[in-house]
Amino acid sequence: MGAFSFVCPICGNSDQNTFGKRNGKYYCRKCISFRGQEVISTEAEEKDVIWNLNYELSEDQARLSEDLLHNYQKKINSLVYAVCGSGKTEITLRVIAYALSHGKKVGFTVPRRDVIIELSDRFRNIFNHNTVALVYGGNSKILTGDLICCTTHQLFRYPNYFDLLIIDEIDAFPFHENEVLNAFFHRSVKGNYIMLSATPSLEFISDFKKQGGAVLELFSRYHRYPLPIPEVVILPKAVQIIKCYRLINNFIKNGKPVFVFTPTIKICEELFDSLRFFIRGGNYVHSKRKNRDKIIKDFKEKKIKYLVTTAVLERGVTIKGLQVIVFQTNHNIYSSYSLVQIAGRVGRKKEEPEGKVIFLTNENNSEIEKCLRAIEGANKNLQNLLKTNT
Amino acid sequence: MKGQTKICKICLKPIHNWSFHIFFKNNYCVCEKCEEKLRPLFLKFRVGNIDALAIYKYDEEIRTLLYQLKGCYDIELAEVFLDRFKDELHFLFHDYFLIPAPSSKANDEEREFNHVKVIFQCLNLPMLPIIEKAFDYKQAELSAKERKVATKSLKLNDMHNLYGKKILIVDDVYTTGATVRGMIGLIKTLKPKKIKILVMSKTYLK
Repeated sequence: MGAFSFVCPICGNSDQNTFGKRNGKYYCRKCISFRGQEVISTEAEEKDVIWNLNYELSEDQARLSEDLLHNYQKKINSLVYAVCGSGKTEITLRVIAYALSHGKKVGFTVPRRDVIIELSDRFRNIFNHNTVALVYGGNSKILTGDLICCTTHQLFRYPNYFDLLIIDEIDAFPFHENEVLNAFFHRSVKGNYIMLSATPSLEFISDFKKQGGAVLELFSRYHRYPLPIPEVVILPKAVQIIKCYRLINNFIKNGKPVFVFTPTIKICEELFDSLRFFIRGGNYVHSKRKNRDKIIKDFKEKKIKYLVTTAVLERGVTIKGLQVIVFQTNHNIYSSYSLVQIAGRVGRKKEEPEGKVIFLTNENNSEIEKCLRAIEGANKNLQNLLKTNT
Repeated sequence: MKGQTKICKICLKPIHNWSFHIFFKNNYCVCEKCEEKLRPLFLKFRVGNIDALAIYKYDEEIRTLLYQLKGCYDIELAEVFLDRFKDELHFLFHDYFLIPAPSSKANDEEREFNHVKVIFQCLNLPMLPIIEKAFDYKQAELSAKERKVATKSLKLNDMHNLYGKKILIVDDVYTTGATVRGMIGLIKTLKPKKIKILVMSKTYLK
């Protein structure tokens, strides 16, 4: 060891410990599971793009989408820092339409599988004259289309391909701090990229500015209601289950759907096992549960009254009138960012902009306090905005 | 020194040098968390009248690791499965000759190694690859009945003297036992002293 040095040509990894040797040849073990059919970039034709949206964008959204378009025309990368439920996806529509009509390759990518499936459905409705390709693990037969929606794991298929790549939820679990996926992201961008996030860290923002990118901020939801502030209820672990039962019962009486977030798969199943005897009509969901797409669909159609879940549903889910309970909030799996995301599930629809977020916890820890401070900060910004406007 | 920092072969994170777990197994290359996921069962069962031993249950964890070894050609993973029991297994089968189950030649040439051989290499026993497939077929796509027909195509590549030797048949996954039964039939014609079976993992049929 020592004298030789080998750098992986695909992901740029240079940690000598992670290389294996097969018949005298070195290979990279970090990115070895990302092998498959790759797409070679071709010249695309210019197309007519018609996009139809059932509703109008708000003032802020229109302003931001204009800014994004200008940045793209000037070839500047941008980061959109906007609170949960502010309509980040709608902001990007205009740039996508512009790039598509000029014959550019456009991609939209998200770390989570459930989120990309929901998003691709929305894009299909909006750009119903163009083809939208959906690519995720286990669904990779059709790789090309006008607009490509894929999970970040599938980006290895598109080396040096996209003229415009939009990435949502950059701080979500598999992508965040994963060198391999980050390397694949940068490898697949030929032109410019746009990053969307509700909770970027301060270091990330300053790094991004140093690299010459533009940061756009949006601190209000499109309906101009403040973000709901979580209630913190401090109780011992055993009593939390009883409190949980009472809260769910109350919400169901008022006809509201409820999410109960739990830290791990085991706790999720245990909690549901003890709740199912008292309240009927519930279900549970975690990353290893089969046919979870159907369960979530049933929940949206109100066939299921409450849902016990792990962090799989913490992002990108929009349900009308949702109420949220977080079980064992002091568990070390929850960071302040993910708590902000969870609180942001509530009140995303214009018809029911308010709702309750309840954190059940043994003790108050720093992550919960950070989360509360972040939400209060965003709400203050909103109030200042409203004052200046009126 | 670069070579001294140990790294877990499954999750690629560094292993603590002075953990309790490293104290007993000096050369084992898997961290504690990944080791917990690989639960050995040591399942004893019989194929006909021959004793067989399966070490793992063929579950999701083993399936993904095997896929990475066989499908992505990650040869470093071969040590992960049996390395921690190699002394015990070597003691158990110390005077046996290993006969690995055959796999299709085209696949072996493409991945440049045979996965069964590589997995059982760490037992340090003599290996006799004397059985091969007459033509290539993929077992995973066949039903139990079709498998029985397909295994008739197994053949000995040339006559070996197995008389009076103890034979251990090894394979990576045991599902219906078609391959192993086919191999037993072939090996019995050579009149060895004793036959035993060792498989890395076994599927559960409910």
